Amino acid sequence: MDKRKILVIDDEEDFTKLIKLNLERTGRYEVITENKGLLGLVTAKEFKPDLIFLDIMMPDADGGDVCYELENDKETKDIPIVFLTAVAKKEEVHESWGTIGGHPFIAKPVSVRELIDCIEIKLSKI
Amino acid sequence: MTIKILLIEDNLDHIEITKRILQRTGDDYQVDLATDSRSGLKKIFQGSYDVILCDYRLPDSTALEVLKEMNKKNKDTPFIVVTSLGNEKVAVDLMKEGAYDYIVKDNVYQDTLDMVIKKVIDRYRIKEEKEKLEKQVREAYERLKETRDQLIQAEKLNVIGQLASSIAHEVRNPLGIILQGINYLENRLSAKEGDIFEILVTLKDSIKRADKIINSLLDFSRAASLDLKTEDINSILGVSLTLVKARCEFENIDIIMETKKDLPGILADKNKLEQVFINLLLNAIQAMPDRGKIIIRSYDKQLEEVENGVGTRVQDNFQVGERAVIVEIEDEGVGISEENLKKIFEPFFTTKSLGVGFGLGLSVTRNIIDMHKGLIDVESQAGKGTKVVITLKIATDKT
Repeated sequence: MDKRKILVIDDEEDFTKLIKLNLERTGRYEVITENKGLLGLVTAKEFKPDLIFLDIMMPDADGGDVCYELENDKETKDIPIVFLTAVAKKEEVHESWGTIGGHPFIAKPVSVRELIDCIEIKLSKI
Repeated sequence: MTIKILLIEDNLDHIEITKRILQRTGDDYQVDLATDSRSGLKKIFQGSYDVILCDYRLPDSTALEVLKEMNKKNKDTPFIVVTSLGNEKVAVDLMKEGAYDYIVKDNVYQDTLDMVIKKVIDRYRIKEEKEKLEKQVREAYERLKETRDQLIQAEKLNVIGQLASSIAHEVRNPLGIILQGINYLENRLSAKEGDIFEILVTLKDSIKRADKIINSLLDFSRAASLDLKTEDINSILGVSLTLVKARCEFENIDIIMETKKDLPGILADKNKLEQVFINLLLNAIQAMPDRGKIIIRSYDKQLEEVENGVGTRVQDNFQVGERAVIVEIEDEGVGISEENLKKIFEPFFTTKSLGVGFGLGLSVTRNIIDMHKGLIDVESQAGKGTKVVITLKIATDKT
């Protein structure tokens, strides 16, 4: 089975390191991490992921801006994006598969289970 | 421009002289006449004159009495008294009473009359302008103060909001790292290491606890602004129930609905009220650790009695006789002791065991209800269950 390619754009290095470790241990995913929001678009174009987890609040770039760039580049515009946010509540996610700007979001702190569920649901629609 | 004068004078010669003087000026003087104080006052209150020219000595009274009558009724018309020589003391009394000027009946009368009248009218106009400007300044000041207060309030809310967001971000990132780390360890462990598994579960619970506190903090900052619309209370209750249903089933809690259909719409922020009901339902569930039932009632009623928050004063949320929508959430759980009942709305007050509660729910709930100008009341007895009663404002056409 082909591994799904997941790109995680988040400024917390310890966080992205662990996510990569946990997701790749399942054997189903290949994970690239990017800690600099400004390099998000470039990394996405190079790696061509199947799904992108995008942090909203980053010190060097706003997640919303990075999202805009990804949506407006023809190489990346069709890649599903899931926001990671610290200021939403988990109830809000359940209520309506909460969306921000048309993209779903999951609320931090996230567990591996939540990440995997999210990937499988989003990508099974394709 | 026409100047309307009322001449209150009984001496016919003097009347003639005055009329002729005014005619000679070439200005458009319209002279009205009264020969005693009674008819003079009648004309004063009926008409609107630019100036009153009043002889001091009248057949039935004095100019001072006329002036006093005018002042009683707050009639402010420029008043000039005509006195004969030797009455300067009286003139001073008249000025004190509010006369604008006095003229002495001497040989320079004809020279000074026109000038005095014009001067008096001018002064009156200036006084009116001044009062108008003062009023405008006062009103502008009030508006400015109000705007300033609103800005300060908005700034405070803004700061709280930003602070809450920063804290949320700064705390949730490390929590996320810890959670991922725990997930990793769970994955690496084999079934033999059951005791370590237990510890990891405890760690995950702690993360959830910390996360919930962040939620409450965000609630606090968000509760600051309400998005009020006309809503149906039963549909809000319905949504809240849907969100706790699974938990109820898991904990063997039965929900009994005793809601009245077609209740009048309430003025509410739907999301905030859903939060309130979820909080109260979770409290009820937690009060019945074994199994139990929760009764949810909704109805409307006319508030008859004076009680907490219902009264006749402006600051009461509801007036006696006002109709309101009421929600009751009742459980048959462990109840709240009398001494704790006083403290339940305090932030961080909790009797729940560690890992279950953290004490912010009810204070946020109360905050939200307060902002809706509603009432929340808790009836409870240790061992006998708890009933929470929430009273909410009905949306009227005016809101």
